[in-house]
Amino acid sequence: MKLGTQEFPEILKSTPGVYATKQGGGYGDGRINLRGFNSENVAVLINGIPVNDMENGRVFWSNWAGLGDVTSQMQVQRGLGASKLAVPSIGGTINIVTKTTDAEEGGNVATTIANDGYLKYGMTYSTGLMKNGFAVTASAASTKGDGYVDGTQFSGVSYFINISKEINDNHSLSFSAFGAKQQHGQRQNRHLIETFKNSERGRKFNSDWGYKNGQVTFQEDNFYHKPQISLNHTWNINEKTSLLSSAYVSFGTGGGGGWRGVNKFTFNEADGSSPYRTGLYGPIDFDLISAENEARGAEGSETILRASRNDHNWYGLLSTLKTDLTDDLVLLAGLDFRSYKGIHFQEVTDLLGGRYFLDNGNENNPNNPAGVGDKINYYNDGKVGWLGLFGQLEYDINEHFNAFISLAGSNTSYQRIDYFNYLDSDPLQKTDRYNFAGYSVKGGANYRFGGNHNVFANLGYFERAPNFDAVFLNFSNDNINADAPNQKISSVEIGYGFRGEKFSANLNLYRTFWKDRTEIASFQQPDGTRAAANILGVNAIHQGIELDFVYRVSNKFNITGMASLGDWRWDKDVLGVPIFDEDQNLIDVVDIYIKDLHVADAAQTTAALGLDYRLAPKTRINLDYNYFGDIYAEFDPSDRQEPGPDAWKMPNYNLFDVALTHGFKFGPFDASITGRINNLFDLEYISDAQDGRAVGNPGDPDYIPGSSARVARVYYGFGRTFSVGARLNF
Amino acid sequence: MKNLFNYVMIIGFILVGCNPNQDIYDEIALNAKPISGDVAYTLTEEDYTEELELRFPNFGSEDEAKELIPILLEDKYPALKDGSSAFITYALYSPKREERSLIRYTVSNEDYAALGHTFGNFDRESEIIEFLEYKYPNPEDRVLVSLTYDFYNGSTNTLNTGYLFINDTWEEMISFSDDEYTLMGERFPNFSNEDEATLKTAIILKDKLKFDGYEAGDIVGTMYKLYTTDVDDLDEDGRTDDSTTYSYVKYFIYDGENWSEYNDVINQVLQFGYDGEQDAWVPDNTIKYTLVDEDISFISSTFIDKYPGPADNVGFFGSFDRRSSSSNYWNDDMLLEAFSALLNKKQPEAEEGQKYVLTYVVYTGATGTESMSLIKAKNDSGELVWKVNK
Repeated sequence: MKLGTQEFPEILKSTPGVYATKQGGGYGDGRINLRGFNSENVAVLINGIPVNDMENGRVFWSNWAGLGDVTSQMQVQRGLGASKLAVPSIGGTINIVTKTTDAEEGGNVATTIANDGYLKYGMTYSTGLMKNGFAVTASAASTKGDGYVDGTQFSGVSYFINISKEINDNHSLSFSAFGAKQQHGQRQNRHLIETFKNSERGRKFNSDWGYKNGQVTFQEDNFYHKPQISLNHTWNINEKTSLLSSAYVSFGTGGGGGWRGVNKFTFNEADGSSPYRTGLYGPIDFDLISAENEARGAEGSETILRASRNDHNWYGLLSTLKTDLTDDLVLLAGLDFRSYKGIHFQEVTDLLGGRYFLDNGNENNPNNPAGVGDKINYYNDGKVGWLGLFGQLEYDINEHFNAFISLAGSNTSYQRIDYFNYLDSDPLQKTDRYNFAGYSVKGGANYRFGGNHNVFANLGYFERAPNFDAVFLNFSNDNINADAPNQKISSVEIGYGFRGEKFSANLNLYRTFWKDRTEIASFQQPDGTRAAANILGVNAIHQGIELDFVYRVSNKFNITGMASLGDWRWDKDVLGVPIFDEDQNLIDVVDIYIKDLHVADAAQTTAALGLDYRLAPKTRINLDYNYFGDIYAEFDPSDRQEPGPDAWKMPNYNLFDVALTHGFKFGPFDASITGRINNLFDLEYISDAQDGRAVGNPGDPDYIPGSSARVARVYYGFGRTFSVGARLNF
Repeated sequence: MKNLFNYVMIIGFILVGCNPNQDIYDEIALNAKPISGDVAYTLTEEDYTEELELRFPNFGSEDEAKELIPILLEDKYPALKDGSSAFITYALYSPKREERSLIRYTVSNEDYAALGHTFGNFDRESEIIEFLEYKYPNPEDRVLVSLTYDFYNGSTNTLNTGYLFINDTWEEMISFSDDEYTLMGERFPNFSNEDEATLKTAIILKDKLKFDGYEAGDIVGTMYKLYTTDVDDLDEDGRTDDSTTYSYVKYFIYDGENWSEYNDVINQVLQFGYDGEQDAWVPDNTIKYTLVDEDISFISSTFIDKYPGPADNVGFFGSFDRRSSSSNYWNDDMLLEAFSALLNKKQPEAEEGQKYVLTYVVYTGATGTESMSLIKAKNDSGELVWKVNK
C-alpha cells in the first residue's frame, strides 16, 4: 500500500533520520541514509541475514528490485540498541522481513499499472498447513516499464518460495528462496541544473542512452540476479532454551554496463551539442559509432559497450541461542559465520559494429582481440571471511526497570587474487589473508513509570574493520595496507516514550562520534613502489533530536507524524600530517580542512505528517506529507585540501503523496483496488547533488564560485507519478 | 473530513506553490550565455536592392560593405549575440574598362628604324611599349591599338596584339593568333559575333593560360576580332558600308578552374563579429580555432622542461588540467604562454590587432572545453605579443 511504484527504501521516508531517494531514477537504483550515514554504515538484513556487500559494506538495492512484492514488514533500528547480531552499523539497522508461510490455503492475483508504461502482474498461492506438516507458499511477479526518466526502460521478474515443515513440537524447518532478476537502463551521470533547464526533456533528461538500429540502447545500465536461499531451523530445546539457526547461500550475478575505448559519449555543456548525438541534448547515435567501428575494419572497434561484473558467492551460518537463566535474566548468544568470494571483471557486451576490441589488461594474454563475452581490463577475486560471536544479557531489575548489556567480537579476513595484473607464474597473483578484528560493547536501560511513560538510555562503543579497498589499495596486490586502522564509533542515546490510549509518542536524543574515518594517502617510494599512510583524525559528530507520534483521533481517523532535527558535522581540521617513506624522507604534508562542515548527501531536517482516514469499512484514504531540508551536496572530505565553504546547500522541498484503497466483493472473491499519486503537486525538486568546483578565477566576469548551485551536478526527483493496483484474493 | 482535505490541499499549494529551485533558475537566467554561433552567408540580389535599397546588387566599395552589412546582419540574425561571427560574401562593383576607340596599325620599317632597331622587328616586349609611347604621345583615354608587328624570338614572326591605353598606361590584352582562331573553328581569324567570342575565348583561355599560375579571382583582358561593317572606315577606303575586321576588349575572370566573362563585379568575403559592448555587428578579423592533437603535442614538447608535470599530463591526456588543486594545473598565465608559442608558430606574421579565439579540451573533474580570446598587441616595450583579449 505504501510503496506503490516507489523505490524500495522510499517506503521508510517518513521515518525519523531517514533520507531515501531514487538517485538517477533507474529501477532499483534507490538509496537510503540513516542519521546522515550512507549505506556502508547502515546494516541491512533480510530475515536477519546480513546483506551489505562483504567487501565495501554498501547496499545495492537493485540486487533485489522487486523485493517489495514479498516483504511483509520492515523494521528500522536507528542507532544502537539491543540486537541479535554482531553487525557493526553506525547509522542503524534495517531488517526486512519477508512473507512466510500462510496458515490457511489461498492466494491472490494482482496487477498494477502506472505511469510511463509500468505494468506489473503477479500471483501468490499458499497451500496452508497440510496434514503431513508441510506448508508451501509461492509467489511470482513480473514488472516492466519505460521509467519516468528517459532511457531507463526496465524489466524484472521476482519470485519467492517458502516450504515449512513442523517436524514435531520441538523442531521446525523452513526453507525459503527468493530473488529478482532485473535489467534496467540507468541515469548514471549527474548534470548541471542548467543542463536540465536547457534540455527540452527537463527533469527527465538522461544523457546515458541512445538508439542503435532503431532500438533503445543503454550507455549505462545494470542487470543483476541474486537468489537468496536459506534453511532455517527452530529448536525449542526446553521450556527455557531455544536455538534458531539459518544456513544460507546467495549467488549474485550481474553488474553495470558502460563504455570502453574512445569516449564518444560526452556533449558540449554550453549548448548540448555532440557529433555522436541526434540533436542537441539528444540521444546517443550508436549507429554512427558502429559505422566508425566498422570502417576501422581489421583495426577493430575503438568504442565498445562493456559490463563491469560484480558476481559473488556467499555462504553463511547464523545461530542464536536464547535461554532464560533465571526469571529475570535472559542470555542471548550468537554465532555469525560467513564466507564470501567476490568475482570482479569486465566483459565485452557489444562490439558496436567492429570486429574485435583490442585489450591489454591481461598480463597473461597481452594484445587480446576480445569478442563479446571475453574478459577485459581487469579480473580479480576478493575473498572475505567473517566470524562473529555475540552475547547479550537482558535483566529485568524489577517490573518497571530493565537493562541489557551486549558484547560482540568479529574477525574479518581479506584475500585478493588478481588474474590479470600478475603473471600466472607470479606469487603476487594471490595475496596472503589479512585479518582485522572488530568488537562492540553496548549497554542500555529502560524505565517505565506512571503507566504511560518510559525513559531509556543506550550507550555503545565499537570498532569496525576497514573495508577491502582500504587494504588492497589502487586495486593491486603490491600496495597492501596491512595496518589499516579500525574506525571507532561511540554513541549515546536517551529517550522518552509515552503510550496513551489515543496518543503515543517517542522522543530521542542521540550523539554519535565517528572517529578515524578511513583516510589513506598513497604515494610512491624512492624505489618506485607504492606505499600508503593511514591518516587518523577524520572524525564526524552526528547528533540530533527525533520525535515521532501516532494519534488515533477516532476509529476511522489516524494521524502519524515525525520531526527529525540533525546536526551532523565534521569535527575538526586535520592539518600538517607528515607523510614519510620507508627511508624517513618527508614525502608530503596532508591538510584536510573540514572543521564544522556539514555532513552531506542527506536531509539534516525532515518532517512528516500522515493522515489515514477510513471512509467506509473497506475504503481508506491516505495522505502523506514530507519535508526535507538542510541537505548539502555530496563531497569527499579527503578532497578538501584547501579551506573552503560548506558544500552547496540544496533547496528544501515539500512533497505530498495520496493513496486510496477500496475493498469490494468481486463475485466470490475479495477484491481491492489501490490508487496512488506520488508528488501530488508535481513539484520540481532536486533530490541528490554533487558539490562542484569553482569555474574561472575570482574577478573574472564569468567566474562561478565553487560549492554553488551553478556548479553542482544533480539528479532531479520525479514529478507527479501514479499507480493503480488491483488484487483478487482467493 | 472533506474540510480537512481542503485544508491540506491549500497548505500543499502554499508549500509547493513556490518552486524550491526558483532562485537557482533566476540566477541561471541572469547568467545565461547569449546565443552565439558562426554563420556564413552570401548576399542575394534582394539584400542589396530591397533590404538595403541600393540601385544595383553590389557595393561600390569595401567601406560601403562594412557600413551596410551590419544593418543586414541585425535583421537576418536577431538572436545572435556576443561571440558570434558572420562570414559574408558580397559583390563589390569593380569595373574593368573596355575600349572607346580603335586604331589598327602595322609597324613599318620606318618605325623600326626610327627607334633604332637595326633589323625590322622588335625582340623585347618593352620595345613595343616604347614604340606605342613614341607613336602615340598623346593617346585618347581607352584607345585600343590593334598592333601588327614583327617579333624576333629565334625566328621572326608577325604578331598581332592589342594594347589598351587606360589609366595613363598601355595594358597588353591577351590576343589570339590566326592559328588560334583556326583552332577555335574559324575560317578567318575573327569571330562571327560577340556571343561566339565570349564562349570560345573562355574555352581557349583555359588552355592558353594553364601554365601561367592564375588563381581564383584573377582577371585578364583579351582582344577579340569581329568581321563587321566598317562604319568608321577603318580600312581608309572611303567607304563605310563595306566590312572589315574590328577589334574589341573583353575581360575574363578565373574561378580557379574556368574562365568566364567578367561582369564588373567581384565576390569578396568579410568577417563580422558581434560586439557585446556596442551591441552591434562590427567588422572583425577573429580566427576561431580548436586545438588539434598536433597542437597539443607541440605545446607538450615545447614546455616539457619548463612545466614538466602539466606538459606531460596534457600530452598524455590531450586535456589541460584546470583543477587548481592538481599538481598538473595549467593556470591562465601558463595557458597564455602556451598559446602564444602555438600562434607564433602557426601565424608568425600575424599583424597587430589579429584576434584568435582558441578552444581546447580541459579536465576539471570532468572533461569539457574552454576557450580563450587572444589578440596580437604591443606590450609595454612596444613589441608585438599575444595578449588575452578581454
